Amino acid sequence: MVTVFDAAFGRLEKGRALADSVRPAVAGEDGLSADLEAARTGDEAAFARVYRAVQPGLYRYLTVLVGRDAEDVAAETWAQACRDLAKFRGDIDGFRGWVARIGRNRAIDHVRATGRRPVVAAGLEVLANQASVYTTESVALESLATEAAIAMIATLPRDQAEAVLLRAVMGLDAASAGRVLGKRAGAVRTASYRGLQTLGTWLEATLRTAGTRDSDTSGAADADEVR
Amino acid sequence: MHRSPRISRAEAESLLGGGTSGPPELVALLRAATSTSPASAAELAGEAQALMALRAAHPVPVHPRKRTRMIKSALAQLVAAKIAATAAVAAAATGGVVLAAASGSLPGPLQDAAHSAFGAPEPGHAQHSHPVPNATTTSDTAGPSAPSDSESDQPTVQPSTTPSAAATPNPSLAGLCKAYQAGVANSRGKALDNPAFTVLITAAGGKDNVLTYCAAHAAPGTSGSAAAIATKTHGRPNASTHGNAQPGSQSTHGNGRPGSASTHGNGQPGSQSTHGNAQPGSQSTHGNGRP
Repeated sequence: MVTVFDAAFGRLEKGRALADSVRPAVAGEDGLSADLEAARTGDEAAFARVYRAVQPGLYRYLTVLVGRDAEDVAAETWAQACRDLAKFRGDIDGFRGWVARIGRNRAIDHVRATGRRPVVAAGLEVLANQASVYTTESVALESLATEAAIAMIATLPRDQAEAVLLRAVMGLDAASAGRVLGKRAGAVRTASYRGLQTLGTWLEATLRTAGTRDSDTSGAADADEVR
Repeated sequence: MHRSPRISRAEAESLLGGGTSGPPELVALLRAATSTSPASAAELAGEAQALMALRAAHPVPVHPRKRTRMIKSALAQLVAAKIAATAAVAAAATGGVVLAAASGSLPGPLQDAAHSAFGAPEPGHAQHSHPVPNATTTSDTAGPSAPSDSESDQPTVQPSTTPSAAATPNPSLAGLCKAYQAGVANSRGKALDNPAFTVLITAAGGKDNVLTYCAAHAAPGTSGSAAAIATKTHGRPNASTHGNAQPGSQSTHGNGRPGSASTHGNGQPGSQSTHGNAQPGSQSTHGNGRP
């Protein structure tokens, strides 16, 4: 993974500045709530902004539920959201939860209709190789790292994976995520906590095994042997 | 360096909210999971379809600054918004005004209004080969404004509306190429059936040519450039002209669209607000084969 590290280190300084783009759609952003209002009356530019803020998270969430069909199910989700948009009342945070719920229902229908089980895109062995990308201190900027991260979360037990994704990736709070999942907020917190614990433990074990655990600064030299 | 295999509940809550304290690999993983720079083409490929769905639900988009009442045609909207005094212009409004708006050659405030109303080029960005997508969805003569079957529409929307300074013939096809390539990468054999790609198929000269066309013309594929996200989007992005056919030199296409591949939800070609059947002289050929 020398190239990834080089790229990552080279952008270490910019990584700080780009931290904003890691969470561009900050929960409760007033601009998006206003855009949402405008979109409800048919303003397409406003809708496009809302779409771009919400869709990546929705798509990633759906990959856990329907794997490669995420694009299709996301399209179905937006189609329904647009049809029912006039009935929606609330700000952008409420909208995220609403869309997540629609997405989840469409995903369930999709699995029922097609009989296809969601497939984890990469096996654990492959993911173990990719885990080293997270040992750098810089923000992981490559899209590969993003896909790998989602795939790793997808290996968690389903309820933990959903809880983590709805909260971290779709930006819902525990109560909103609970409404999507039909659970209490406390149960969501527990599930997401367990999910993160599992992920953390797996990452640590994987990286220790691969010999790239960055226990101190001298550990970076081993990085390139993994990929 | 912080090294603990077990995280606390508080840390977990912090991490889920985007915090940075915790095992660094886990922090990095979550950051990667939530990063939208760059968002992949696959993630944003559905924007065209979503906008179509929005149009289907809202046949007459209301200008964001004028939410008070629905006006039947965007052209009338433009006039009412900015040129109350020149009612004569409105009454006599023909394609000429719309074409002028489309080529960015109206005077500043009018161009700006056209820009807001139906995505004509901004003042100062005169573009000679970009006829405006259908400026209005409804007029009394236009027939049904809300397409009953949105799937059959020819959207103009593309993932990126960046006026590209790159070598691409026009930005919208580049955006479609990216989306298509992402679709192919996902083994979407049916990607080309998506009506959003009809423009691309036309430009390439057939479904089989799309791959080579994109290889030749598409910008090098960063997956969904950050520029696409940052770009301000017009409600109706400018129509994109085909590499081969400029509006000045209309040519027919296999599936019957004029060079301005800019159809609107109700399937009307670019520059006129009238219905798809009858074109004033600005288009020499038309999808329906009428000169």
